[in-house]
Amino acid sequence: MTRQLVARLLHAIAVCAVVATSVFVLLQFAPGDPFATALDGADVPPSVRAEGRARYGFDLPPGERFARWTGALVRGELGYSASRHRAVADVVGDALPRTLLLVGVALVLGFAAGVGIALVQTRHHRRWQDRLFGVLTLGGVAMPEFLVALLAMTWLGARWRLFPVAGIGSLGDAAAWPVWERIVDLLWHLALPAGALALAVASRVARHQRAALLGVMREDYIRTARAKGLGEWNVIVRHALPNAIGPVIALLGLALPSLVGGAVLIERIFGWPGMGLTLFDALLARDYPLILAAVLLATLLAVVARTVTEAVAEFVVPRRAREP
Amino acid sequence: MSALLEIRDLVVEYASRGGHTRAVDAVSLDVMHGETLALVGESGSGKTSLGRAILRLVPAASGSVRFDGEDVLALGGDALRHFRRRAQVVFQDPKASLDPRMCVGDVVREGIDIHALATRQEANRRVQRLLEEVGLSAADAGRFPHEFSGGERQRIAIARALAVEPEFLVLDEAVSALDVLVRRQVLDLLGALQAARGLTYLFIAHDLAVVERIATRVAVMQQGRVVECAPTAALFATPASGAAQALLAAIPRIPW
Repeated sequence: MTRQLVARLLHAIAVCAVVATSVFVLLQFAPGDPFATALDGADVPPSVRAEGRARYGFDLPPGERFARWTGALVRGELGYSASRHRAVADVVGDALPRTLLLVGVALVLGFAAGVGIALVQTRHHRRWQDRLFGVLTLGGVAMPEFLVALLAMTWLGARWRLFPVAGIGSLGDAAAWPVWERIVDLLWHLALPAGALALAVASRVARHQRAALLGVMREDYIRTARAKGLGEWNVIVRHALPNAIGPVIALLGLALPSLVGGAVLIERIFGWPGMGLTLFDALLARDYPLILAAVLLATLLAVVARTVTEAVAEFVVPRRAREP
Repeated sequence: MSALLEIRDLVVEYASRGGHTRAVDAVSLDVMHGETLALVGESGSGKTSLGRAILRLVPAASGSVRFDGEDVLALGGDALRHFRRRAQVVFQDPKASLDPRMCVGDVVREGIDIHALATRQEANRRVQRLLEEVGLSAADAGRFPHEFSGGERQRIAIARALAVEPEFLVLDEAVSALDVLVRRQVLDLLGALQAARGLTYLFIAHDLAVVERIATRVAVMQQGRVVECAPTAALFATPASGAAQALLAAIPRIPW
């Protein structure tokens, strides 16, 4: 167990190192730098430009800059964000919880809804309920997240005015509101972005879960369960689902990075000030330390998520671990 | 002796490319109280489909099945659940017929809970008694099916079927997957259980050698029909149908 844990930790560190290095190298090839807009005007004297760049170390060769950045990283320093005039750690500290909230809610909602849909489809296999959800989930898989987001924004937000179309909270002195009102306000703003993400998750989960359930439904022990006198719903929930949910959980772990990728678009569309929007703005501003920190964090998140889902899948399917 | 199960003109069809395949073709059979009726035939002769149709595990196309006078094919809801308590089944492959995610105690218990046959503590005691009755130990209740050998798993499947105290048991190739020594042990167990509990068996097998010791009567199936039905001794002495003769000829004999 300990050896496995150490191996996974080393693996995670290796992945992060490779990602950090390649992003750093790729950024060297991208045109411009953090000061391009501010300092590269025709009326700025070359000496001023040089001084500005020298202040942040941009006159150094890339190799040395990389060495300095990694050195700081090992000491736990993420650097200074020139575009936000704050320490990168503070920017990330504000943005990360918001993204975790968005992705977490979307993941839980989407997973529950997807499994629920698959259960209904399995119960009514080849009847209209199965076909209807089959078409809907195919649409959910095929439709890009930004389209779902824009449609939700247009209809649920702008036309029917059920939900706010942007931001994380209502205007006003939030600190003065009672706690539950702040929570309701946050969830109200969360509804559309989390809903759009959850729809994509639910569609994928439902399609995989349905296939897994139908595969298990052919097993002899399902026939045994029916012969015992269990009702069909109980047969599905108590005997089929526990045997069919493991692979779907593992799949969710693999899908998480793409979910984080989807969150970048969703955050941009709904103005949700999380890691996605931060990364997007940082890219436009060529804010190197912030870009690197955001990418590194996303990588770390993906690695952690995969490890956790693997552990959960092993727990859910104990025979995989026990059978020699 | 009266009939516990009366099957009349039973037809089972499966949808196939361009129409229907008739797996069971107008079968009529009686199973008497307390007897063991063996149902033998080559693969694909329809014996498993017949056994499953009787238990309402596959739908019947036409015909009738009466269990203790009740029309089985018309049962629904609570009445069907009640029938499932009285008529149980043991399948061929004990690796596949036990839920791998459930410990043995829960597998055996579930039937008792479904039919609300006992209180919690009583159910636990009953599970332990059943496991001991089929030759396992009460401590095995906490283990999972994959920790047992094939013969032990079939004993678990038998304990599971007996948990709801049925009167009638369909043994669907219940010993076919076991090696000869274990097969003999399980057959002995089935015989002892029948004597102790007054059970009625429908014993499905593809092999006449297996049924010689256990069967009261033998019905031979071929291409969905029952071609011969006779007391065991009579069938072994003077097989009338070609199918029975072929099955008899297939029993390996050691030449002296």
